[in-house]
Amino acid sequence: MRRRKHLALLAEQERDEVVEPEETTLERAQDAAMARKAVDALAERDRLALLMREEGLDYNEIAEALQLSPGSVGTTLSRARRRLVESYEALQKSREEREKNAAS
Amino acid sequence: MQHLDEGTIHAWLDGALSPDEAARVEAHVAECPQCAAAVAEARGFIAASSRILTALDHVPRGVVPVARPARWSNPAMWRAAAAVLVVAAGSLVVVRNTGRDSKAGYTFIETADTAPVLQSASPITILAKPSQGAAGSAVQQNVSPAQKSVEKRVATDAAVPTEQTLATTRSRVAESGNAGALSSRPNIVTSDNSVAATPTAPAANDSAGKISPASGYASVQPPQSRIMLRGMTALSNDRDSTGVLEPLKVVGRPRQIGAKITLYEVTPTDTVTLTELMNVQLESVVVTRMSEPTKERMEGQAAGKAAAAPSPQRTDAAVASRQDSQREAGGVAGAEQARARSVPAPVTAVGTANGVTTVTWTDAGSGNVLKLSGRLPLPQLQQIKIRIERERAAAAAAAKKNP
Repeated sequence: MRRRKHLALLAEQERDEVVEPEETTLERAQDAAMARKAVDALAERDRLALLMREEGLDYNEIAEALQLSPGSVGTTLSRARRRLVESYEALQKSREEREKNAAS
Repeated sequence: MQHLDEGTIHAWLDGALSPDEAARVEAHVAECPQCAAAVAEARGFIAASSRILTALDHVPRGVVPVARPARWSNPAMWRAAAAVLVVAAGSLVVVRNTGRDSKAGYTFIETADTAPVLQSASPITILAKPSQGAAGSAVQQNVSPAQKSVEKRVATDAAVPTEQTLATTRSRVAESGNAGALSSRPNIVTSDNSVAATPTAPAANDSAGKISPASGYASVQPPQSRIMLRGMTALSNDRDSTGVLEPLKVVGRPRQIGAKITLYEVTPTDTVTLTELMNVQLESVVVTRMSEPTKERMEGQAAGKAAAAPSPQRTDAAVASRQDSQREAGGVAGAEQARARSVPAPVTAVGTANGVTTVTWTDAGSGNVLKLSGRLPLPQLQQIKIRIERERAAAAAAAKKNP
């Protein structure tokens, strides 16, 4: 039991090291910050639908929670996804330009 | 059929449509390039948004993580600390031992003192195997942590064939501990402490870790996962391995067909995996170390005291250990020497990927291919390799002598 625990800890540690190497911490943080900005930019209903979907809820559950008709969940999600991606890409672009300017 | 609207496409891709609807959508997409393109685009949005949302999980909202807290999680720090302790302890041992001849066999002594006074000093583990010895008897140490008893075993092999008896001494010291244990303590001492119970246990563990000078690693040895040397067959006896090393701690033996895998804990933070691809059998070893900052620190202190504590032993074992300890004091150089002496099969391949270094070689005794990999620099890995080879040799010898 103890050993298993130990191994589990080790595995966790290992995962940490693999998944989040020291070098990319900053980059990851930036990505996360941008992701958050993009998500925050969504309309509340879109954001909630998207997060619920990401959490694994099905369309009926989302419809119920948001008081939507089941048929409109797809529309809501499609809009939310498109906007999320677009705003994220816009943020990315502006960041790249900033970095470019900073470099030159 | 009319062209699909985006919502329907997403619902379809999300598997939210009824079978009938899904069939209709599918049929339409199959024959409508425009909608097929829309579906492709929708897939892209779904994947991208999922990725973005996943990125949220990496950081608590609104917080930019600073680098990791600098606890003693950095292996390098432990190594450095261990190195200092090892040097200090090693030099003491060497001084005490100077002037003795080394003889025979393989000696392994395990001592754990639970007595309050002795606690700090006792936990030192040294495994010595004289170079002059014959095959050397393998020493195996077993500790039953649950009993919280101290087990001391000394196995000595005389170099002379006729004398090749294996003397095993086993003493048990009650937890209250007694001074007697200290006086009889061999130069080579291995302490096993059950981490679990007593406060002193951690210290013992630490000290044990410090004493693996050759590798320069400090290892924490949780009692339960004591060394388990497996009887290994077909190891060459002629290989005279030298060097004093505490057994590597085995933390796991994942099962794999066609190979033996052993996980060793080298340092609190480093794990090494030994994989043996066998013609006949496979054996792999993995070394893993977890860091337990507090314990280790305590150990460190204990180790220093312990180093001074060991009293000379009258047996051959003492001699052997002396030799070993000297070697250990040599640190890396000693390890290198030992390696040269033992003439293990040459490393045939070295590779590094993702920070994991892998050393591949062929075992001289069994002809099996061994792979040792870990997140360590090559030199360290090679030292571990040497240790593993020694343990294997020891285990083989033990199997031979003590069937």
